[in-house]
Amino acid sequence: MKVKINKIIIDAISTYLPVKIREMSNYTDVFGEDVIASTLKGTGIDRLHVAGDNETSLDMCYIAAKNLFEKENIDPGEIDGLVMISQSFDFLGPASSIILQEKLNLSKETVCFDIIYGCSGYIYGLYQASLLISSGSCKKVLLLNGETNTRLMDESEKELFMVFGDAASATLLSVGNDSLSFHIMSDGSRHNSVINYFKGFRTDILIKEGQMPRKINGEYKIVQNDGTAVFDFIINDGSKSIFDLLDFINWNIEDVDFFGLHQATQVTLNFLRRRLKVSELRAPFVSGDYGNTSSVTIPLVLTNCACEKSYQTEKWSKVILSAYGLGLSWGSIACDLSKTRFYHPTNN
Amino acid sequence: MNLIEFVAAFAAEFTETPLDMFNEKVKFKELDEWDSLMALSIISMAEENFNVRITGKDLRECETIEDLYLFLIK
Repeated sequence: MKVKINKIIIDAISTYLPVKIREMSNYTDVFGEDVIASTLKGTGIDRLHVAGDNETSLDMCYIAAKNLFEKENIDPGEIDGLVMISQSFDFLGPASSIILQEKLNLSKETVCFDIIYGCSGYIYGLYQASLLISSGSCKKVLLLNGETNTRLMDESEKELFMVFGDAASATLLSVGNDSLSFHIMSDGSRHNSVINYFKGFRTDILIKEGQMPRKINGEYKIVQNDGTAVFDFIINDGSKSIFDLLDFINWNIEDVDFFGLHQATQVTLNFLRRRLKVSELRAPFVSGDYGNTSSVTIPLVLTNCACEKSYQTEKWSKVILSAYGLGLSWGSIACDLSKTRFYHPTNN
Repeated sequence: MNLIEFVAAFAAEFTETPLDMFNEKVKFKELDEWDSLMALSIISMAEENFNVRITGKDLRECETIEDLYLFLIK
């Protein structure tokens, strides 16, 4: 699916990282020095943030949103749409977005959605928010992304334990003079490549039927991740999505000021960048201190780079965002972020 | 891309192994520098040059650089 949606602006983005930090160098006793060194060489992730024991995706999104309201001097009553993307919601129902309507003092006229997506979630969130605005339903939409990935895996799954971190972000979109162009793809035939079995209603049926694919230490794995298939997916389908979108909107890849690409691991991004033939400066990997935070990686790249001297965001008039995740689902966005304001947790 | 060019492109992916160690008969998985990351580099290089998709299994079935080349031009 390709579409250009007009009359929208991304006003501001804030990100939140929980206080607790998992340092990979502290795990040499658990995994061995060699394993840590070879894993870090591929992931590029030295440390990641871990949500507090009583902290959920809802709580983290609340802080990201409150921070955005404060920095931007936003009257919560002006917001009329709320979209939350996660794969670690508080409940199967009611929606976290509805609970946040009250917590954030939004009007009861607000339309709220929870949408389950993993690493591709920022693309879907911006798409849903844009549709709410372009349909005339809403004037100001708050998009929240939050993940407590670290609760889905333990030390028995070192490849995941050393990669996935917790974080949240808040993005404000409103009626404006810019446009957002989208390319979105789905492929259910590869749904087995990455699965989150955590408390899904089919999980017990699969266990009963002996269909659960892998056991570790006698326990069924909560998350299944076929590394090679995922790598192949990101490099091939990811790059094709970006090229298809560039073609659709008539941009040359050389004209793109910045690429905010999903931060799966450093090595994956290196290969994707190589396929796109763009420099590290234009398509950076910055998640060495955060890990792969699923749908929050793109907001984190943007807010992280916005506070670095090497980037002038007022020149980000042609930006490509692109993400790839479970489903499989993936997509890319072309947008103008030159007027967007960015708030990074360590630079407030 | 002919076999000689492919061997050169293959060798260029390595940073520590000397260039003169490479020829079409080299059993690449026996090289000290070979690891899972090198496998990804080779897959990516081959896909770029031949416009075909290779899986980890395809690569495991190849022993020499020439085996891989023959697989790619099939």
